[in-house]
Amino acid sequence: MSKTAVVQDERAAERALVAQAKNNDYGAYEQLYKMHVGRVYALCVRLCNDRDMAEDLSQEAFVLAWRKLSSFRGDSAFGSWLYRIATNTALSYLRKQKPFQYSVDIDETEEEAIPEDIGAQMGLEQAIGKLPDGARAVFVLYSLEGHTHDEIASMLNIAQGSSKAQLHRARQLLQGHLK
Amino acid sequence: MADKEQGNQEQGMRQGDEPVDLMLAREIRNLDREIQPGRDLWPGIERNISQMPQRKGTLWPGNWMPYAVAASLIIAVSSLVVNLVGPGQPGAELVTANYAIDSMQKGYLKVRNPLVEQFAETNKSLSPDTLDDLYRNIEIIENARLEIEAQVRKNPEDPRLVEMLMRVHQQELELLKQDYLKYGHSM
Repeated sequence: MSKTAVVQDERAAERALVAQAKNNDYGAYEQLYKMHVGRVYALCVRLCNDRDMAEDLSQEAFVLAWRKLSSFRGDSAFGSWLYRIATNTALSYLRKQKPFQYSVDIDETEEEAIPEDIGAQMGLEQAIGKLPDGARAVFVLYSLEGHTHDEIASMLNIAQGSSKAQLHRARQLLQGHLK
Repeated sequence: MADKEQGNQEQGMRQGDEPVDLMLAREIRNLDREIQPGRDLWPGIERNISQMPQRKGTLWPGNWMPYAVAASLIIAVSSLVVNLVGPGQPGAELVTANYAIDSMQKGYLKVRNPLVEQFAETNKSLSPDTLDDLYRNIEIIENARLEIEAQVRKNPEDPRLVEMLMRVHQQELELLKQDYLKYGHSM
């Protein structure tokens, strides 16, 4: 069977599970949970840099998705829709924790202190965790999740220029651990 | 040699190695897309969602309108045939129903066919899935119309069936126009 056919089969199976879950089938939703929890948790842990909190946020994202499931029309893949909910859940938490961290403009980011130990030899995963919150959020959303600067600016309520500046800064800091 | 080392540093390169930004890109690609949480989150999720009110089941498919129209028309016509044109019931009018159906159909197809062609031509930009859905809807209504026409031809005496058929034609055209307008065109 070709790769395309396999992907189509998986999508068809996922659509069937979503339809069952819409009719209150918890078993079907558990299957969807098992299919997507790894990506959802990875997204949350990278955004908030706290494993325990990422578990709570992942759980909250799945509960919220269940509540909103009747509004999911299937225009996009279920996973994309779910990751958007998880992203918003994590960002909402971060905004509550550090309300001013994400609304900095370009000049302010330049003045912000750069952590010194980011240049030490470590794995990229740990290095991402060491990034300042704003730079980390933009880096995760842009480089790992594939969002555009326009989308990120809207999600973080910052200017597109700030998003680009934060990404540039994150890359510079991360390159430090490779040198 | 010293110049070369300085040049590498300016380009963000490690000595004798690939540029740092390429290394970073490679490491990003190699990052795990998934990380499993330290505990199973499902029990907590299930506890939460089981406390929420149950959603109402969806018996109809997403695009239910054509099914509803088709079903209601079939039921209505079948009832009419049973109640009004049953055995022993004399014909109410002397119209030549078959002739009426044929001429009505000519007029109807004159309007419908260009509309379907125009619809196909101008909706090429829609995704294949959406187009499939639209054509499936047209087909459902079309089948309902054919079924009603067959009933009318079996019972040509009743002018009310002819009238019903006219209404089906009208509704099919309306649905075609609605779908057409829904996807951003003006009539």
